Amino acid sequence: MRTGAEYREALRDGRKLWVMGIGAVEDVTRHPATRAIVEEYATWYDRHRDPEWRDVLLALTGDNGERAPWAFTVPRTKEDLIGMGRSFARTTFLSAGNITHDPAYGNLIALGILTTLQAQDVSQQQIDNALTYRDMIARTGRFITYCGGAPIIGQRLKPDPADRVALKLVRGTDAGVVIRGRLGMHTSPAYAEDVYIGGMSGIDIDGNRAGFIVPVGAPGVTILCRKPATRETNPFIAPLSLRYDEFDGQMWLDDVFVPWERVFFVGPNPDPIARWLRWHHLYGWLAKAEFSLGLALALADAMALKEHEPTVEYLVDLVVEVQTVRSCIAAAERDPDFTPAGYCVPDHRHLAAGGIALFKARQRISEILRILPGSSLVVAPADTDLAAPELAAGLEESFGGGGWTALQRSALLQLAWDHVSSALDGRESAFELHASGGMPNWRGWLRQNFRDYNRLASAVLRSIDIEMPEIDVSNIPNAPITRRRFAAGVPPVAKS
Amino acid sequence: MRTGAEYREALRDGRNVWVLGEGKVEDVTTHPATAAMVEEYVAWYDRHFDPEWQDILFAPATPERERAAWAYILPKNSDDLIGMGRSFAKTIFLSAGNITHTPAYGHLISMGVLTAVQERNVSAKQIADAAAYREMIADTGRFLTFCGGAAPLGFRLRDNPADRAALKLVRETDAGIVISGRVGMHTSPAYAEDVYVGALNGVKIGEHNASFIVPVADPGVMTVCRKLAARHANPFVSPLSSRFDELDGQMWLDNVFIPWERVFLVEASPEPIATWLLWHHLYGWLAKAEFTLGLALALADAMALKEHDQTVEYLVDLIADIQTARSCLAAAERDPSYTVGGNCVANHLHLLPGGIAIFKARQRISELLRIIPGSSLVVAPSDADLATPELQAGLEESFGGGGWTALQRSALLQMAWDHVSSGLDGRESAFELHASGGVPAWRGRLRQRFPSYNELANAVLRAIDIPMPEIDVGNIPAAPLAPRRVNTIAATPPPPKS
Repeated sequence: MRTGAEYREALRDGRKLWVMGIGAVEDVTRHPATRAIVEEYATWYDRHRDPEWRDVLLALTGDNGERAPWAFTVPRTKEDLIGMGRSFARTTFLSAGNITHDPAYGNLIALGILTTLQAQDVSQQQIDNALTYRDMIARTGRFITYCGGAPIIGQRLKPDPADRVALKLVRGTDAGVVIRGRLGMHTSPAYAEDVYIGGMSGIDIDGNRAGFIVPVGAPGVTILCRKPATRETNPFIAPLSLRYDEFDGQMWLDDVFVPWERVFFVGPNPDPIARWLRWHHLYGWLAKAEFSLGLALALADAMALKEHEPTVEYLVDLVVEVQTVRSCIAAAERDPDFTPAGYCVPDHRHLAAGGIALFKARQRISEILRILPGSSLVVAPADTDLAAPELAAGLEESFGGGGWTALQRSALLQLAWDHVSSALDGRESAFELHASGGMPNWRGWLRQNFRDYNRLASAVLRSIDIEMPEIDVSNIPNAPITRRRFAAGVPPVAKS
Repeated sequence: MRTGAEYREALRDGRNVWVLGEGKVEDVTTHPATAAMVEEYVAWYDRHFDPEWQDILFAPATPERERAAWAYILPKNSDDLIGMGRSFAKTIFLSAGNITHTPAYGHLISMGVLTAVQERNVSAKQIADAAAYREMIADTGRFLTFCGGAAPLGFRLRDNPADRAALKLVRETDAGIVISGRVGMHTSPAYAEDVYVGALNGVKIGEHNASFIVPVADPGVMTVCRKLAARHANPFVSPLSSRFDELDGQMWLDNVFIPWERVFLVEASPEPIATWLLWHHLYGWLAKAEFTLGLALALADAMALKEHDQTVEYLVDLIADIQTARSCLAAAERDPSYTVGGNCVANHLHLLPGGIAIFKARQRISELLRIIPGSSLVVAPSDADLATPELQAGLEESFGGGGWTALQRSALLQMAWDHVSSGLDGRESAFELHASGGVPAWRGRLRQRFPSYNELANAVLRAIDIPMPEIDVGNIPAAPLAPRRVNTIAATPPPPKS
């Protein structure tokens, strides 16, 4: 595993980066808009050398005490899934569920590409290339992120349906392909080294829908990140927002060369790759919920409400939601599936149930955390206010006491505010409602993965003592996932 | 395993059974109020001899034990729990989740008694007696049911607090004790052979809370069952109600002798016994939900709605609720706990969110099944109507077609109605909202067992870059379960109204 310093240095690769509302970013490791997250990723790497994290982050791989990162494991047993899951949970919690795209997630992307190809009728060369790539990132720690490949709204509204795709193939050569176009939302491209572009990009090569791995620093690549989540500049008030804005973005490709060993005939359906990613998504959402519960518990103590029954009932509401997801994940890892190549993957029926439960609960979880501390949440001071001579004594009297100084209690209240009432919170919600397709997609995946349709329907008929028709409702799981959304109608002429 | 016929014969034991609204039942195996349920239990035993059920109902032999019915296995590992769970799921589904008290459940009660005395550890003899009882029912198939031991309302309103307990100890002898009193709601006493009366009954022996196993047919025992769930006399209209009303009841004890080997000294709370029972409860609720989904799927086919997007969305609503409970059960069995005696038990940390999820969802689940078939659900005819010459052709035209006869489609609609719009459905809901304490008790149990209170609270503080106080919210899981409900008795009770 490389060091954080090596990762930081790797980002100085000439990448062309623009942050909306800010402008060009010459060096992501130094620019005020991006450097904090670079440091979080640098810490992610360095944590693997921290003795306190060894048991959580490193798997025993042999009888002689050798260890390897869970982050880059190819899981073959449920014990592997449990170990990987524990490492995801512990690391994602640190950012309160805001940093969801890390190099471990990149390993799942690489596994997804590999298992997609293994399940399809592609050449051995394609499979070998995917395997080589996965082994390379496991060996080097190289950071890959994911882009489904969908076009942006302007492209989807073009008059000619043939133009409504994200990418076009410019030409093919013996060494690879040259592609061009613009790709929609994906996360952390400013900090990753590679982006996987999925089969929704629309490029077919010899009748095969292609996915690509494109280096962020390659010639012709421009990354456009969204505006930063608005935040205070004082870390006392914005302890999360200042550190954990992982930046979503778009990518423009201008005649970018992709060698054949980074071109994969994955097909148009992103689901075989998403099967790996949803596991990590659920850990990210759980981390946010667990952080909310942790804050609520800390606030119950800090606000002297831990004996107050209505407050405890709110806490139990949160416990129920958190434990439901924990149980679904436990079931998914302990009752797993296996890919055709023998890799062990969490069972999707269990994951989907957990994801849907959390989608239903997440707004209420945030509301409960806003309710629980009372209106002190709204009026809590900053450390600078507490240090102002005109206010210090009064604020200490107002916010100190019960074993907590005003500074300590205010810090906790500000952390809670930043977690569930900030622009970072709004970004997290808006992003997660789209990133894996939102509730419609998770319901669609459960619809596809649930077993027993005909068995249950036929079983109830056996309670009726007359001859009954045979039931066949297999159309329900067999239906494709509904497309997220598509622009309808003939686009109007642009207004001058 | 005994046969169903042997079980039926065992019920002719002179038991004193009353059914409210029906009167005294001389023979539960032949009385119209009770005979159908006896036959369901008979079928439960006989199913163990059916070749088609062998793989589901029997655990294969292992080096440690012979082939045996899953219903009576003492689970030692996760695989045992999975096998037992599968057998519960398959058998309870047959009654649409209405028969929740079976001999397999009785075996869980006996394991609960064993766990409770092992935890209390009053004496080796107590533990040996509980182990011997469990082995006896595993050997014989004897059917035990559970009563928490709480007093009926009239007792709880008495002036003297000392008189508010369900039971009183009349006397002790060298051979056992004699008790009198009345205990509140429990299920299937008319069909069981023994009732476990839990420590809520109020009898103390020394410093210990006493619980008992009482034979239903013992001298001095009278079982008073509730009124029947109202049902149509035609089984076409009441295919479930006419078969699956397991009858809840009270038990009156008049100087009943209990030998010492059936007296168990346990803690005041029934929770150690519930350790085993909640698992089965969740399978019962899941069975009702799965039967609902099965009906909804069959109706989507029968009503030609399986391509209708809104109907499919309703089906996915049902699937999401069911899969959540299934996932929690899968986690509970695959990530189990162990009792002090070394037996493997489904992990409550996972069972509880499954139960709470079903509690939240169950009324909506029933509503969805009322919605999906449309108003045909309300106006479907019976077989007798379909056979009436004046109506026959018109009803066939109205309800037949699309590969289904009017008789077939009506049978399915009537079953759906019986499942979610009948007296039996109402009984199931009212019972389950009380039986294991309802949502408050399930939440309370999760509150006690959730493991990460201080860990999470202190972990978030590490995101703050100043020294912070150490959080201790250990009071939250440490709080006892709230009593289900406490009756408020006026200092001077009003006189009865004339």
